[in-house]
Amino acid sequence: MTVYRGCVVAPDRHYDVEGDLWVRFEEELARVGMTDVAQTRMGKMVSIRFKKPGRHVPAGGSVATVESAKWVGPIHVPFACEIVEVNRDAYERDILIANRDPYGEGWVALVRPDDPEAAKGGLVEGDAAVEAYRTRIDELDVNCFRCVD
Amino acid sequence: MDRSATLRVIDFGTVTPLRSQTLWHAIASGVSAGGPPTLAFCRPGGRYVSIGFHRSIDELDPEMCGPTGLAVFRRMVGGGPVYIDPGQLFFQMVVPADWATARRGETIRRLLEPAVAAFRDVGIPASFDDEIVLGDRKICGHAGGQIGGALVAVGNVIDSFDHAAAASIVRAPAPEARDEYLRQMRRFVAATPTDFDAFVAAATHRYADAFALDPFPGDLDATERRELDRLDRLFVDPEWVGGVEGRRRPWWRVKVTSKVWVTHARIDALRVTAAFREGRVRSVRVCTDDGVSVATRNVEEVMRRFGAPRIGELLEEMAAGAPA
Repeated sequence: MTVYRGCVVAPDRHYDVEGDLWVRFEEELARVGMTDVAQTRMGKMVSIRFKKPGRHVPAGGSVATVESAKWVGPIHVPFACEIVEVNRDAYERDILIANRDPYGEGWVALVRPDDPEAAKGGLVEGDAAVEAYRTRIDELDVNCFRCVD
Repeated sequence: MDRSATLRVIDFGTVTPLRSQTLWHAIASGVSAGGPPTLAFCRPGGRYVSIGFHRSIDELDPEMCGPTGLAVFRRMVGGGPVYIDPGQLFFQMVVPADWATARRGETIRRLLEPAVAAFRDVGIPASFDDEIVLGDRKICGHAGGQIGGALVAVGNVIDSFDHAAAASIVRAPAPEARDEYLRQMRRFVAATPTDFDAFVAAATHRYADAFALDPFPGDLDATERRELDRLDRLFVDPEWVGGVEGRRRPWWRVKVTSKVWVTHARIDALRVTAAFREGRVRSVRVCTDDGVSVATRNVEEVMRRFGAPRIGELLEEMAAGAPA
């Protein structure tokens, strides 16, 4: 695990760095969620609205829409996929779950990429992901923090 | 013309309630598709209710809102239900999504600060403190969001504000809860009568200056007009207006400003209504079903009077979470 300016970059994922999205491939499926940078930029969440499982999402489409302090924004997935499952229960129990645990309990959706290999090709992982995130964090001039209360 | 360095300014004048929402959503689609940053203005020609993207329709009073009452339109940006009438001028700043700053709070501030300057230009010494305020009173409702590839900030200039009507649209669990909401709105939400045309001119200058853009008077393009037609249909679709089921909360609460909220809950036979400012109790009213009603700022007094220490615990819990 790499931590840079308080921002965790988990080692076992692929990243859409511009979209602040992590992707963990699980056989033919992919679990997606917001990165530490994403939850920090967003601030405390107050709502999330998921797309329905079974729905097909085009590349660049959104799997959910989140709200923090009156600001509404989408969570985009950079590859075409079908939504298999959404993490509704966790967010209903604790709307701040992504602010507390973005890489674990705060995952957003489990999707089936139309073409997993092509999906991976558009993402970065490992050292390349860490380096890309260092650059992005510096460009944004952001220091990450988590909700603990 | 180099569109990237221009600010399209559209003053739609007085429009229908529906169009006062759909016009700027159509602009967002245009900016997403590469259109120029746009500053728009409109005045609704009638009364209606606007509800935030994530909020439950159950928050609205069913007699005041909906088929037998005021029209309800669900916007694609955040915040709670708001009452809108012709006494309000709306402005919308729509820019490409890649203009976002590192944090969303900073983005909304950046998109609203020129409006604050415009308020000041027309003689209203406003400031930004989570929202646009005059002293400790909110004078502009705002919301923001990313719609497609566009960032949108919306706000209003309030020439006159019908506090009672605004309080009436919310489904309140008890009469005293609605009364308290109205009382706190009258204290903390204010109109700032001004010349709308002067504000439009000032805002145009301030937004152009803040983003280093050349303003030019414009209109919707053909693509945006097609999107407007689609949005006109979408915004009256009952499924869109109905939205999704809201989150269940342990108690009722309604926001007055970013710092002030009113809550209501029941403890056995007692109904407890409390107003908070920045997490501190401003007032507490405890009512019983047999007509006893006590209002005070002294929590200990309420606990002694009703022999209910749980009221203290409840108020602490209520104070901890400001509503969105």
